[in-house]
Amino acid sequence: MSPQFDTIIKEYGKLLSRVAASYEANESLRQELYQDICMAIFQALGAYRGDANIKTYLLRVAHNRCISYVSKEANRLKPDEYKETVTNDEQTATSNIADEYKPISPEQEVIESAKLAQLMYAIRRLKIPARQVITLSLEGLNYKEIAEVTGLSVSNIGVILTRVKKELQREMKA
Amino acid sequence: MTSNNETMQNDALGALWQQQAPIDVDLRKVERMAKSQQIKQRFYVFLDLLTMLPAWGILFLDLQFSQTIRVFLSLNAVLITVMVLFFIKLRWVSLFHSADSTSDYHTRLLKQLHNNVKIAFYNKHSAWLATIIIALVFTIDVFAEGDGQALLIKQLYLVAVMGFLFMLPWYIWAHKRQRRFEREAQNIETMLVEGGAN
Repeated sequence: MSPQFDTIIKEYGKLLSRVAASYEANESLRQELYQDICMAIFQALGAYRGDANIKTYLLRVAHNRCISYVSKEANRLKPDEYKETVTNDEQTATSNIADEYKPISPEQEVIESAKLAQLMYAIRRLKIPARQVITLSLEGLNYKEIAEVTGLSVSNIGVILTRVKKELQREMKA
Repeated sequence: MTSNNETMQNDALGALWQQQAPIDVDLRKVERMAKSQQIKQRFYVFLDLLTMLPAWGILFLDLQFSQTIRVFLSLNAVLITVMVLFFIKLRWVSLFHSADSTSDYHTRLLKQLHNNVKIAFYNKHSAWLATIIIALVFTIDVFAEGDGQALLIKQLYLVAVMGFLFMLPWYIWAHKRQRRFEREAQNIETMLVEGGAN
């Protein structure tokens, strides 16, 4: 196995799997999409010359792969049909992470799962540019890095972020 | 105070976002699949190039074609070459532009989908057009060479059978492709248009 690819997936695998999660609610399809992202990364690494930040480079490849996926799969499920699947999937997700990192009470776990499911549902309903900007921001990228990934202007990113965060917070409170 | 609240809420969203469980994949399998995909892509380019061979080969073989047929075959070879080069360019774009900024990629993908719609549309109509052109070429050839009408009827009968066997399925296939690419382009356009959350 190519050591570079192996190291990169070990280091950025979680980040890339969150990219897949922002486009696909169904667990098994999300796994397939993540696998596709990894393949795209493997192929794109050959063209990486080190002139860009590796994290933003990987995010560009991953999001672009997801866009191609969306163009082919968008007819398969409508956003409203996601809800049930999402809730089940994300409940599993948070219980996995809870087992792994911190001991929390079952009640708290249920609340966290519900919140995460709500957040994921709201994010997946966003238009693609807004979805990309907010998820990149939630990954801790600054405006300049988000601009590097999306090609949008810094001021445009600011406008989108302000609007989307308000919308997300409103949906989370609802 | 409001700003502090906003920062806390943003941090809370970020923390919640990070709680997602990671997905596991078999990296060896991914690498095998990626390598096999690369081989397939190269093989497809090779196949694309091979499709030009019969079109050009038939011109250089010492076959007794009439002048009309020779002109028709030359035009056909040029047309096939242009199409093959275009397909190779599309493959090249999909291979080497995966790390473009996402907005450039959206634009490129949409353009590609619209091009695919056009290609499928031309392919679709090339089915009946090609049948008519071949029939015309045979007709002109028969009259130019002074051959009998019996030969013309035989050739037109052959064109009709070939048209039905190959061109009709080709037309249906191209029509389905056109509709699929139209749907894909529409999906992506709907999901890209800003101006609201949904």
